[in-house]
Amino acid sequence: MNMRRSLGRNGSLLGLLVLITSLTGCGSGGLVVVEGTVKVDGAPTGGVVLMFFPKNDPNGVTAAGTSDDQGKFTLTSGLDSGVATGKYIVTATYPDPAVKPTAAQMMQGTFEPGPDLLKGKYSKKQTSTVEIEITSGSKELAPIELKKG
Amino acid sequence: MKRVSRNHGFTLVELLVVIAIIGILVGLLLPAVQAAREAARRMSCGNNMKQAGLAIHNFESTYKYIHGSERDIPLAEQPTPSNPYGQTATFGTLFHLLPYIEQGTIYDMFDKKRSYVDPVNMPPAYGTINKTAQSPISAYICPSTPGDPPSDYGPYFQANGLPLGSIVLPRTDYIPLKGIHSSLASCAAMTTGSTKNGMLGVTNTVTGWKIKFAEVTDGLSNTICLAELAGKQNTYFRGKKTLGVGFTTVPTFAGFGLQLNSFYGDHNTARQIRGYSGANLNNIIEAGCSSINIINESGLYSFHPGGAQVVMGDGSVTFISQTTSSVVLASQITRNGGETTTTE
Repeated sequence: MNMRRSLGRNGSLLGLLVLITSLTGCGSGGLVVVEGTVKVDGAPTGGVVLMFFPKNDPNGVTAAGTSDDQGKFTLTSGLDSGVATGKYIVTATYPDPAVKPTAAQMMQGTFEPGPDLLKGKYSKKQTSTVEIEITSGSKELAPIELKKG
Repeated sequence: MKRVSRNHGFTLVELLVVIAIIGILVGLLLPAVQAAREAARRMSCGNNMKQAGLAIHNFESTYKYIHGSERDIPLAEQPTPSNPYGQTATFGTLFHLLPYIEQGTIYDMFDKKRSYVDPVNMPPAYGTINKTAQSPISAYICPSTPGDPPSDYGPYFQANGLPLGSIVLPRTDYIPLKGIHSSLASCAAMTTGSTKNGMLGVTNTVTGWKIKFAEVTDGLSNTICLAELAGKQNTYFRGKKTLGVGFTTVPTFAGFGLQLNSFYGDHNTARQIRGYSGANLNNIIEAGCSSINIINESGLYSFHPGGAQVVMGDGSVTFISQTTSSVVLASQITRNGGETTTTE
């Protein structure tokens, strides 16, 4: 009798400890992982750099992503995948992929990406007309259509 | 009731429970011990940075300016014979702080009127300076950085057509800030492109290397002066050593068989801080908006969890979280941007 009671007490203590340790894991930080496609003159294009500026928070974290060969991109905020919910002003640049860094530029950190093949039309937050809203249900964004001319 | 406690042993279940509890407690404690060790290393690292911050102010008290991160002495103005290999770039900020961190003996051994890659300032077999001049400066090394081989300039010299062989120079884990790179500027919605208006940035490297505190119009306490960019003797990408791995689409220093220059006197240690995507190991400098703890090329990089330490212009040492937005970081780097943000 005595032994069983102490076992019950120890058992519940053990259970509590297990519960507490399992609860102290960290959450995802509320970022939504979204995927999108970027098209230049109608064709999916790789190497386009997209930046998502929070519309209502001028000091907020800028999320960024670069499209792959199929034109697909995902967004990163700091070191984490995903983007916070809210409205964003989107900028896009398409640096000429033919421009590659030299050894000296790598050593000195002075490499500049090639000229923007979109001619700077979407490159500035101040003048960009692309706006995207991210909701907690966002998964696949509507394709972002850009024009070279 | 008669107690028989003297003969009462533990049952198997009780023993198992005790062992389980001890196991959980040890499991909780061991990471904490490791974290405490890292916290101690970080503190020591920050203390080194504080010494450098104080040295900058003592230097300023003496000369009424601070020495910018880059300076060129034209060949014609160098003592004869001038550098046979033609380099004119001379020592950067950290070298000129040596007398103010009680390393004046080493400072006096170098010829400041010549390039740091002049044979007069280089160890044998390439140069003639006494080898003790290349002693490591512990105040410029962060204890959190894994104990890897020191910085070898041999391959870099070879790539520049200079004599072969290993040339080991003492490294630094701290860098002067030159400005922001265009990739970070666009993340911060700045239309300036790449700048050299960091606290120690120099536009004219021959005549403009003296920087007065009055030029830091954003305020000394709002401007980053030195930052951690650690472990440059290897390439680290998001905490993992990646030397020689997967550099296919874009050549990098590792792809060239080089290491990033990390001699504390080297003006190339000063960087324009970049924004990285941090997503592509095949193109480690792919543009994005992450600058802290992505890659130890031109970002802030430390081996502390969660961020990196910086010295502000007023000499204080601050920990900058890696979740800091590009807008805030960029405004803290520029010395005359006119922004009003703080890292708090």
